[in-house]
Amino acid sequence: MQRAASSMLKKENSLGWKLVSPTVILLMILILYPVGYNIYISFFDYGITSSTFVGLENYVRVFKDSAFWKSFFITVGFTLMTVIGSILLGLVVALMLNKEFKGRAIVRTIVLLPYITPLISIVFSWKYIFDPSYGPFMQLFSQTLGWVSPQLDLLNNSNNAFLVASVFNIWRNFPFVYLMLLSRLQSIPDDYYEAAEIDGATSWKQFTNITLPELYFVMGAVALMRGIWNFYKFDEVYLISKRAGTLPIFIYERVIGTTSPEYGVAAAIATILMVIMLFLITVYVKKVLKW
Amino acid sequence: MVKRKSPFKRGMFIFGILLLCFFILIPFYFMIHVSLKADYDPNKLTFSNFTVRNYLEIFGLIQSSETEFFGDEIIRANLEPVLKRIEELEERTASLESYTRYVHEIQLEAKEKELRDIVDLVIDFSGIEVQNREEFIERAITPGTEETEIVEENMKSIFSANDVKKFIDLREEVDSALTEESLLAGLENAKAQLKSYEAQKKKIIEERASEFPFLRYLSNSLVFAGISALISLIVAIFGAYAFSRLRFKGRSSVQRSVLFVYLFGGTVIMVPLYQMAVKLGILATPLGTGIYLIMVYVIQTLPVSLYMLGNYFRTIPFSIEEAAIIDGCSRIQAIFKIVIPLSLPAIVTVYIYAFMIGWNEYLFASAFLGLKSYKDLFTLPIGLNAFSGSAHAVWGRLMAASVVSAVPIIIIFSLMQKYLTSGFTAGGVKE
Repeated sequence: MQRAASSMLKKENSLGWKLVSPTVILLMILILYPVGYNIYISFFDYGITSSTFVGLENYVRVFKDSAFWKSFFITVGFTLMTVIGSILLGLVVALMLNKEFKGRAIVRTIVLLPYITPLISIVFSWKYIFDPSYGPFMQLFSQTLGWVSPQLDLLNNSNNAFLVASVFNIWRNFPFVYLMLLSRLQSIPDDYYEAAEIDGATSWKQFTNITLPELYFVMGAVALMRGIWNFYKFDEVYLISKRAGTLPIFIYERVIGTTSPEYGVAAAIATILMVIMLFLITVYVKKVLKW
Repeated sequence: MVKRKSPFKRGMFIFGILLLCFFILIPFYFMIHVSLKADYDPNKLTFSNFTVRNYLEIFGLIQSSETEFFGDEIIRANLEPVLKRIEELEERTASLESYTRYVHEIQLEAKEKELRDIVDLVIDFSGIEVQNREEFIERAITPGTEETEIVEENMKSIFSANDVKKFIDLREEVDSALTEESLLAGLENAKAQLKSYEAQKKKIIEERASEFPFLRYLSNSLVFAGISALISLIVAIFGAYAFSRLRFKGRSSVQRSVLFVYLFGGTVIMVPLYQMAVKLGILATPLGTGIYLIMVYVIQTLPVSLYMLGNYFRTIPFSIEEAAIIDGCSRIQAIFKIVIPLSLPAIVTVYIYAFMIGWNEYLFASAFLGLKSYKDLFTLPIGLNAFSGSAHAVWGRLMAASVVSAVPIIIIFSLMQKYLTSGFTAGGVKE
């Protein structure tokens, strides 16, 4: 009997490994190895035909490069703006759509549209809206209202392109926050509010004393998740404007969008990005998943 | 207990909902609006005339002449300088005589003038005594004369060594320009130049003729996203089953690394994945590039598939499988006969998610397909983006393509909204 049980366990063990082996092999070849290889490249002056070991020189060059620092702070600003913006908007929308009203089902479907529409389908519409010469935004605010200068180029000026990218990112991703918060809101028992009502609490008091504390944890988790994702967000930013200048675009321009690629420098920046991300991920895993 | 709201609060609430809908829908409005307007008037910066021509156009049902869209002028402006260069080069390379004449009349003239100017400058600066300035300069730019050496000596104190060397090189070049050897080499060079200009001309004309290959981009995207999502799903079904049902050594560490990868982005491993492909020569053929791209998409979608499926499998009671196993089913049979049929909605959901990730992917497609510019393999994101940057871009067609690529996805989502939104909140969605 005992032997049978142990052979069962052995069988289960080997079957388990057989079933996960494709996953493990793929992860090793296409994630683990590239991550190591990336760190390796970052210590070399890496060319197409030859490469020489340069130690930390790539890192020194990156840290001395003012363009890198500009890009770094743009990335931080972009991440903070989009995380705060999408959480605030998502919270407001979740609170609104948690109330009963006529046509709620339709509005709940509409709210999801930005998130589910393919990126490539919606990005040109945004570019069109902010287009400096015939976009409706400029026509309204510059030609009709005269609030902004007609020379203002929201998309192609590297100083402010990331602002449009941020607005777009908030628009696209707040439904994710909304969904996470709504499902939490729906699980708050009604008794809490009824009891508060009897005690004479105003609706603002109910919000700050019941709703918010219930939401804190989910909001923190979503903020971290969105922060991690937006920190290395490439396509949503790049497709809106090539000149938004966040770090992923900075790397991309050094490898793909150039005739003289600097693999070593790009790898060094990627490694720096990775270290920051690993830090954020560790916080997420420790605080949210509680490993 | 029903709370009574004041009409003011109600009004504010409705206003808020309307504002929200406006904010969400405005880009969709412009997408549809512009896609239905064809004629773009560059003078008025407006679109006019309602039409479905853009839609017919992207499906290749009609082909309007380029002049209707861009006016002849843009094409002419692009083509004219090239044609002019070709004419010049053709005249020049017709024979050795004509090339010699060209070198003599145009090239040498300019270079000799440059040399004369430099010598002139040297005379002024260093105060060399000359009787006949013209004659002196003429002799100074011919190598091997007394004057040459005087000028060179004086130059060294005025110019940098590098500039002096440039001067000497230029002088030698002028001197040897009319030897047969250099003439022939120059002729070859000019012929090569002519060829490159002719290729450019061909490209402009071809580009003008070729329609925007929207359908090809669409089918490429379908193939890449569809196949990679399928592979990812198959790998994930077995992996997720092992995670949720089987106890084996190292399970938790494998599970944790999957979660780590789930939060990981493609940007960080772009350089090494690109380098690996270049080193292995994968990018040399379209087939290799396509397969590599699909594998990269699989690894991007695998973590979320594993995560979502694993969560779902845990909700299926084990007793059903147990009964089957007691009846003589093997574990693998149990997966196919019980787990897969029971979790079909989840499997479809996961497939749609994985498909969407491939459908939206830009970074790797642009890195791998853009390098050798495999235009036949372009996916929608890079195809549309490349088109939007070209001189042929027309908002109407671009928006029509946007609408066509969005509608099927939006329909699928509305039909499966219940499953898909619960999928969002179960694990969030990898992007």
